[in-house]
Amino acid sequence: MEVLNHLFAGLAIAIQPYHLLLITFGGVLGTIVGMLPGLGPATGVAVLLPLTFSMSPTAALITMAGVYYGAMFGGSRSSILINTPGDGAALAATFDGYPMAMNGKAESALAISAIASFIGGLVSVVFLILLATPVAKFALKFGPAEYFLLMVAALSMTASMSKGNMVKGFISTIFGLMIATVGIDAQSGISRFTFGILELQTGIDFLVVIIGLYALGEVFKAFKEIKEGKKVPQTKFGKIWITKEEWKRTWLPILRSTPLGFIVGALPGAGGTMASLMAYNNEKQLSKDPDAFGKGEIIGLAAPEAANNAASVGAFIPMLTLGIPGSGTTAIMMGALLMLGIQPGPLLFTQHPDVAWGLIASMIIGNFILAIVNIPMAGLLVRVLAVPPKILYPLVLGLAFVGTYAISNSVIDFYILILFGIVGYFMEKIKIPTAPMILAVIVGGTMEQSFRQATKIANGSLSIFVGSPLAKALILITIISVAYPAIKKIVFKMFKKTGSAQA
Amino acid sequence: MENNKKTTNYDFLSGVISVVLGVVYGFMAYNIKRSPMGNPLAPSMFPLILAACMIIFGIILILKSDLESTKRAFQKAKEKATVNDKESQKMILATVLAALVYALILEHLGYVIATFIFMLAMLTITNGKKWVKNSIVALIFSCVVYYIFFYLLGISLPMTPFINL
Amino acid sequence: MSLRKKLWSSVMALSLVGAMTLTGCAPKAATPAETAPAAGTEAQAAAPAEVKVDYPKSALEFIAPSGAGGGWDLTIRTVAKVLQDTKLVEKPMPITNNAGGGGGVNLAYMQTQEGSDKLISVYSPPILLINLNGSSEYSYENTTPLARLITDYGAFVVPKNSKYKSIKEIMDALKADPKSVKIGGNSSAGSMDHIQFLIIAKAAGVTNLKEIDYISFQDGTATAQILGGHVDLLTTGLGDVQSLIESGDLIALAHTGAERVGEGALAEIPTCKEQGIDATFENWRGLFGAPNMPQYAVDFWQETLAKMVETEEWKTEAAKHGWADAYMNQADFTNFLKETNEDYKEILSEIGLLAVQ
Repeated sequence: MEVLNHLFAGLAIAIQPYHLLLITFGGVLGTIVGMLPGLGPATGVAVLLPLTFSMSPTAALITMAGVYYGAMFGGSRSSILINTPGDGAALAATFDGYPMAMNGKAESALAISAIASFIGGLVSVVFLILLATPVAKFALKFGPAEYFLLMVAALSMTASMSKGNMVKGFISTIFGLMIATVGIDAQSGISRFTFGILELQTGIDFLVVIIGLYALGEVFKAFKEIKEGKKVPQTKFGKIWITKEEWKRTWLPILRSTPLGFIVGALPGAGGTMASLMAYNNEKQLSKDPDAFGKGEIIGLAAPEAANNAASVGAFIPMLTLGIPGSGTTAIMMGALLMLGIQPGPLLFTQHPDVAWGLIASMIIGNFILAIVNIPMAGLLVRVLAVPPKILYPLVLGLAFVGTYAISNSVIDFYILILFGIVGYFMEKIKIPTAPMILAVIVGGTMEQSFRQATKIANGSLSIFVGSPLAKALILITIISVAYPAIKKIVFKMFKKTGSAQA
Repeated sequence: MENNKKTTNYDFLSGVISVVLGVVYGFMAYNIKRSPMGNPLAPSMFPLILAACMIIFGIILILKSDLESTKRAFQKAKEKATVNDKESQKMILATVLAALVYALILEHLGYVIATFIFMLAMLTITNGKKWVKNSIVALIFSCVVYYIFFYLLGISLPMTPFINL
Repeated sequence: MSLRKKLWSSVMALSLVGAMTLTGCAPKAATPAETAPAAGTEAQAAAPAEVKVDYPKSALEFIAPSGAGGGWDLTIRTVAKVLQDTKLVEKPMPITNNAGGGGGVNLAYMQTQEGSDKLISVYSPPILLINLNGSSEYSYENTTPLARLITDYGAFVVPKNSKYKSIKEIMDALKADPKSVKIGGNSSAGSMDHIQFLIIAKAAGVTNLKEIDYISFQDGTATAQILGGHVDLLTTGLGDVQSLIESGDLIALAHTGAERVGEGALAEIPTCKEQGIDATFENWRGLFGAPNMPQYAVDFWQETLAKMVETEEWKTEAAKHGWADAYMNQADFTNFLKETNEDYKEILSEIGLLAVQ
C-alpha cells in the first residue's frame, strides 16, 4: 500500500504541465538522437547537461530519463529503414527489421517496434516498482567469473546460431575478439596493438565497427542495384499498424523478452546491446521456424525491441538503489544529479522520495507519450523510402560520418570506419558472417578482462568459474542453449518414431 | 556440364587469409611489452590464444576446401561479371577515395565545407554529373546537419575557418 | 586558426587601447576587474591601470578531458557555472568533452593549440601518471598550469561484513601474504586508484608492492564488485562512495587526507595518519592552459580564480560535492606538480611501470 501511496505522489509530480512538457521534450529529443547513427542515449543526455543546471533535480532527471528511453524508441527507426543502427542497442533490430522493410512491410516493422518498445518499457517500470531491491541484490552476485560466463553464453549462442559453416562463424568471432584487444590492457596498464596512436589507447569503439559494416556495407551493396536500376523508391505507404495475425505471433515473445532485458539491463556494464541480442537469440532458439529469422521475421524485431527498452529501465536500478551507474548513460545522469546536489544512492528513496518516485511515475507517463508520438512520426519517417536511392545513399553515408565523428571527436575514427566498410564488403564476398564478429567486438573486452580478474582473485585457480550456484546455472544455460537445436531434433525424431510405432 | 557440379567457394582463400592474419597478429601479440607485475606474459596471453585459434581454424578451413574451387570461383566471378558489377566496384573505389580525402580535409576546412565537397563527390558518383541539383542537396545537407549538431545538440564539429561558424 | 586569433586579439587590443587614450577614460564593463562585482576593493582599485588587453574578448574553450559526468567534467562545469553566476567572466564558456587515452588525447590536442589564450582544461594526478607510465608523451610541463582548486581524497572501503576492521589489519595481512587481500579499483593498473593504495601501503611498510593483486574493473563497476564481496578492498575516491558509506553498506577503513573531513558519517572515517601510517594522497584537481599561454591571459586567470575560490557560490558548490579547498596559485602549483611527479615516479618504478625516459 505504501508503494501505491508513493507512486500516486510521484504521479502527481509527473503530471504537472511543466513536467509533462519536459517528458515529451526529452522523449522526442531522445527519439531523434537515437535515430542518428552513432548518437545514442549517452550523447542525448550529455547534450542536456547544461540545460539541467537551471532545473530542479526532479525536472532534470525526468527529462534525461525521457531521452534515455526515447532513444530506445528511436534507435530502431534507422535500423529498419536504412539498415544502420542508431546505437548498439538497436543493432538487433537490423537483423529482421530491415528485411521487413525490403519486403514492403516497413509500416508494420515501424509499428511493431514502437508497440514492443512501449510494452517492454511499461512492464519494466512495473518490475522496477516491485522488484528494484531484490534485482539489485541479484545483480551484485555477478562477480568477474559470472560476467565471464555471461559473455561466453552470449557468444556461443550467436556462434551456434550461424548457419552453414561453423568454422567460418568461429573465424568471424575470433576476428572480433582480436579487434577488442586493441587498447590499454586495464589489468597490467600496458597498451596493445595501438601502433603508437593515442586515440587507439581507449580501444576501437564498437559503434564505429557497426556503422562501418552496416552503413558503409549497405551503401556499397546498393551501388550495384542503383546501376542496375533495381532499387526503386517506394511510392505507396500504408497505415503504420500491425495486423491481428502479427500481434498474435508477437505478444508472447515481447512479454518473454521484457524480463530478460530488464535483468540484463540491471547488471552494471552489460546494457541494452547485450539484452537485445540475447532476446533475439532466445526467440530464434524457441522458434518453430528459425530459418525465417534474418529474412524479415516479425518476432525477430519485436523481441529485441522490447528487451532494449526493458534494459533501459533496468539500468536505473543500480543508480537508484546503490548510487552506482548501470550504464554509460546513467553515469552521466548521476553526474548531473551530483551537480544539482543530490547524492544518488541507497538513501535516495528516503531522503528524496519526490525525485525517485517522480522519476518512476514519469517513466509510466513517458512511455504512453512516446507511443502516441512515435506512431505518427513513423508515418513521416517511412517516407525516407520514397527518396530515390541515388540521393538517399549518399545521405546515409554523410550521416554515418558525422555520427562517427560525434562518438569521440576524432578523424582517426573516420579511417577505422572506412577500413571496416572495406572489411565488411570483402567478408560478404567470401561469405564470412559478420554478426558473430560484431558481438565479439562488443563483449570481447569485458570477456578477457573478467577472465583475468577472476583468475587473479582465485590466485590462478580456474575453480572460481564453477564456484557459485550462479556460475553453475550460467554454464548450464550455455550448454542447453547451444545444444538445444540438436536436442529438439532428437526429441522430435524420437517422438515421430514412437508415434509411427504406435500407429 | 561436369563443371557445374563442382563447388565454387572462397573457403581456401578465407583459410589462407585467416592463417596469415593469425600469424601476423600472433607475432605482434608476442611482442607486446611484458608486464612487470604478476605473470609477465599476462597481457599477451589472450591475444596469443586468439592467434593460435585463428591459425587452427584457418587450417581446418583450408583442409576442408580445395584450391580448385576457389580458382573456379574467381573464374566464375570473372566470367559472370557484368558491366554493372565493374561499374559498382569502381563506385566503391571512388567512394573510399572520397572518404579518405574527406578525413584528410575535415579538420582543416571545417565541417560545412569539407562535407559539402564530400557529398558533392558522392552524389556525382551515384547521381551523375547533375551539378546544380547535386550542389543544392550537398549544401542543404551540410548546413542542416551542422545546424542540428552544433546549435541544437551542442555537439562540436570542426569549425569553418575564417568566418568562425 | 590560432595565429589568426592572435592577430585578431592584438588588433582588438590595440584599437581598444587607442580608444581609451583618445577618450581618456576606460570603457565601461570592458575590463575584467570591473566585470567582477564580487571582487575585493583592493583589486578594483588596482586593476584599471594595469589591464592593457581586453581579455577575454570572445567565447572561451573549456575542455573536460573525459566523457560527460566524470570527475573532470564535473569540476570544469562547476567552475564555469560559478564564474558565470558570479559574473567573474561574462563571455560564454562552452564545455567540450575531449575524451580518450585517460586524458592523453586532450593533452595532445592542447599541443596543437600552443599559445592559445582561450583554452582552459582541467586535470588531476593522471596528467602526471599517464606521462610517467608512458601512455602519453606529454606531461604537465607541456601545459601552462594555472591554479590548483580543490582536492578529494582516496578512500579504502570494505563491505559491511568484512573481516578487516582497520587499514592496519589490511597492511598486516599483506605483509604476511601479498596475495591474501585482493584490491579492486576503477582505473587501470598503474593509474590513480592503484597508485594511491600503493603509496599508503609503502608507508605502512609493505614490501614487494609488485606482488599485490590489483584488479581493475571497467566502466565504474568496481563499486558493485565490492558490494557483492567479490574483492576484499576497494580503493577509490571518497566522493564516489560517500552515499554508500552514509547508508552503512560499505565501511571506510581510512581515507588519505591529512585530517578528518566532512560531517556525519564522513567525519567518522579515520585518516591513515591517525592509524600510524605516515602518508597522504590527494586527488587534487587544477586548471591548465595551453602551452605558452600569453601572459595577459595567465594574469587574468590568476586573479579571477583567486577571487572565485573566495566566493560564497564556489564554497557552496564545493561543499555540495565534498571537495576540500586546496587553492594554490600558479607558482605554488607548479612546484607542487614537480614534487608530486617525483613521488609518483618512485612508486611506479618500484612496481616496474615507469616508462624509460
